[in-house]
Amino acid sequence: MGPSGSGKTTFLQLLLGFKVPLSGEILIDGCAFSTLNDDLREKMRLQYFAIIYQDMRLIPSWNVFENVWLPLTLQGVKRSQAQERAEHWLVRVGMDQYANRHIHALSGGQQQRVSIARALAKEPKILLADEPTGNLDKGNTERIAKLLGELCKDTKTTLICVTHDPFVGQQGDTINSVDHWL
Amino acid sequence: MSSIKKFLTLSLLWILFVSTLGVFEMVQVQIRSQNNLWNAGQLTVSMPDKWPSHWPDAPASLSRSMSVYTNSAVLANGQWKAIDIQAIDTSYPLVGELLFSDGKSEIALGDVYLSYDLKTIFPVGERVQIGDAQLIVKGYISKQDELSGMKYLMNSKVMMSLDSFYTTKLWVPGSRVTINYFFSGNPDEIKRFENQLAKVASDHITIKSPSNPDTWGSIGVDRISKWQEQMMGIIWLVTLIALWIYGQSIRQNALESAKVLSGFGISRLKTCWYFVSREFFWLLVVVISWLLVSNFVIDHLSLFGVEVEIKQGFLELAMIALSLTTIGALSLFWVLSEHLIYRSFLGTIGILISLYAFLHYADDPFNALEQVVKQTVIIALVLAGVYLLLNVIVARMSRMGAYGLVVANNIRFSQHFYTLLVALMVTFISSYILINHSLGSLINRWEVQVPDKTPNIFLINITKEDLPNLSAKLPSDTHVYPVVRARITQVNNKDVFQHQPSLQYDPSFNRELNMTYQDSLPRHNNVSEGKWRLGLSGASLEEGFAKRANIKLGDVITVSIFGQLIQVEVIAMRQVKWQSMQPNFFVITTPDVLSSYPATWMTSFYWPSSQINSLYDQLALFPSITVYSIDQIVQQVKGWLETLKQLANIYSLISFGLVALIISNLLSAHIERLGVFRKVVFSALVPRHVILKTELIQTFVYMMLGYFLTALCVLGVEWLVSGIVSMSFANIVLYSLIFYLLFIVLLSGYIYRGVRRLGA
Repeated sequence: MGPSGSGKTTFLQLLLGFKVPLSGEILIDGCAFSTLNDDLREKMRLQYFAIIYQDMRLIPSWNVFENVWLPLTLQGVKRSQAQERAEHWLVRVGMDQYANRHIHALSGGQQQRVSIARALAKEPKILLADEPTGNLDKGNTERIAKLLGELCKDTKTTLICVTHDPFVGQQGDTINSVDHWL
Repeated sequence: MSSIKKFLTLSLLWILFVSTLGVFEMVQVQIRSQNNLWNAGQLTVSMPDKWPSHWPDAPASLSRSMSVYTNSAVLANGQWKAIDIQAIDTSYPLVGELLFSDGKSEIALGDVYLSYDLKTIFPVGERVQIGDAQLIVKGYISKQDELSGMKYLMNSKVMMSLDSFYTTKLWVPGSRVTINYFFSGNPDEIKRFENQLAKVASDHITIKSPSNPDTWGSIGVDRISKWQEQMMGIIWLVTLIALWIYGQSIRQNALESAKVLSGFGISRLKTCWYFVSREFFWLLVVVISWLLVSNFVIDHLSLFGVEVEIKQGFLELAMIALSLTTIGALSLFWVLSEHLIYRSFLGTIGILISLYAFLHYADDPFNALEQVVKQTVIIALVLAGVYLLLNVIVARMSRMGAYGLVVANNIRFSQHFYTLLVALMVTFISSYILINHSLGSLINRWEVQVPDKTPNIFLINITKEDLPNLSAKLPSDTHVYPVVRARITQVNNKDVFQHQPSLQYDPSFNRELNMTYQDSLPRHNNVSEGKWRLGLSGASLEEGFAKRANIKLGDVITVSIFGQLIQVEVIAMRQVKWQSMQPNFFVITTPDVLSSYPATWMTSFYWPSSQINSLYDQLALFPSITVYSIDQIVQQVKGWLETLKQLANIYSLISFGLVALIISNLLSAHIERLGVFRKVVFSALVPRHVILKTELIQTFVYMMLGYFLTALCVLGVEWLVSGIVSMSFANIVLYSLIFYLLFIVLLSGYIYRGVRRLGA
């Protein structure tokens, strides 16, 4: 947790390998992730991570199902398997009834649920969340934060969430507060 | 889209739309008004001979006058120059439009007025030999009062009094003289007199009167109307689609803003009204700007010299433009419902087209409404077919896996219509290329194609007395054809118009035809059906002519010659090589049929252009003969085409500017869409090489879709204009492919660069 500008998002970018630390190392399963070249980092990123953003980052011209299903297939998951996973995760996040709706017809909270389904359908080992409730009202913030926590516990996925919202922070097992990392 | 781009795009589109309409309108309005002015309140009787003695005389209360049209030649600087003559009597009904350079509008005995192209050859006071008469040049024709007849002929024009014309002795029985008798006065009297004439008139005499409004003002307008109708469907659809796309972008903005602003308690209706009013203002600014500019240009250039009529047409156009703008702006309200626009697109187009057609042609006397709607409905159906096809493709591809979905993404929502717009713009270009390129080079190509020593001189109006002496002066293999003026009135004893109703609009059956009689058929004619002549008596018809008139071998046609009716059996059909530059005839009879009737003779032959003066010297002995030099006609036509080309250049410039702007907008939209796609899938941690691949596929499909639609539209244009000019647009299809491939290469580089920078 920390205020805006304290370096929370930069921390996530370092974890994803989009940025390389000037000093120190990032180890994933004992592998010095941050010292690998671009291609290897990309492979590891694909294998270990998924991410949820504050602005959801969904494609407006696609429907809910396609937004979950397409990235999976592009990540190399078989078509039928991707379909099963997408359907499963849409049920889990409570969006299965909206599978054929276009994104622009959804509320902010619903869009974030789709975004969570997309991330977890990837079956990552580590789920990163960058201010996942930043655009939501209080009610939706509480619902999304609880949902994230429950789903990650169920799937034994490590969730690293950066936020400035105390309620979201309190849902975590470990809280690190930062004033100024950069 | 930036404001400047938006302004330019809309401005150019509107200018293109309305200037196209405007050009057609202005020409039509001018021709129509002048025709009506000249014909108003008159009864006109046109015939190839003097008023028959057994015909009723006009009531004393009607004023009567006459004019004579014919053609001849004058000796100018040692060369014979073809002229068209109009002789008028002193009571010729001038309607204030005929004016000579000396300020007069009447012609005295012995005087002659010439068209301005003869000014340098014949200054005022000079004597001119026309036929047997020597006339004095009094001045030049400043304004003509009619558009029919001589204005459309290509020769220099000469006007004289009827008494002067008698002294020329050019009035040869059977020659190409048309006499117009004019009667004006009380409309009821005119109507009664017309009824009397209708009882005695024969088929080869034309009677025009105010009681038959369909005949007024239509001269010269028909062809223009045809062009207009061919183009209107495309122009409307392009404009409407552009407006629709414009509305789409506004709709997107309005919806997004409404979502955000609803959080601040601002109603959805208020937000949308803000967008509608703002964009309406934009459209209004654009339309009013170009209206003012065009008005200024027309005022100061006096393009056609008939300002009042143009202003009326222009006002009508302004009304239409403003109506369309208002409808376009109001239709934005429709987009407030999120899904309605997709379902009602075709309906919207249909309503707008119908409304526009109604506004434009509600009081059109030329019955254009039906044809225009027909054209647009056909094009709309084709577009609807494309639309449905694309939707089926989208649905199928979406189920074909990841790559299928990203490809389908190309043609979702309005993207395919953006592409369609490019295609239609290219269609515009192809139309202008047609005018600019094809017509201009038509004559050049024709000149190249005709073999050496193809006849280039035509002689007509050769009298029987001239024949022996003339033949000695012409090339040895020159064949001279007798010409008898006659009209086909019946087929198998049935009125020709009842036999084939479509012939009512066929000029060949509404006037005298040049027929000839021959023992053996000309060399450039081949018998395709029947026999010639093997002792038979009858007529041979040109194949196409017979087909048009639904005349078959063995049918009996009735021919009217100077009021006398004769019957001839059709014994052969012929194929004619029209490009042979030989005299060609729709009807050739055996000599026993026509040889006893008055005739003139005509011929054609090759004469080297460099020695043309020697030919004119020899022909000077035969003043009644009219000489047509194809070389001169070609030069004159080239001059006209040059003017057309200049106009087309301006049009092309506007079109190209518009296409460039629209393409730039489309590419920006495509790149922006790829940017969103890239950002999203990269956020889902899709590897960069996969993103690169999908973006390249999307771009390729997008461009190929554009190419496919372009090719479709170009073929559509080819089909549309095939009635006017027969030519292939294959080159445009090829060039379009190169154009699209080039864009694929350029975009690929741009995409590669963008993807490599992801995550940096």
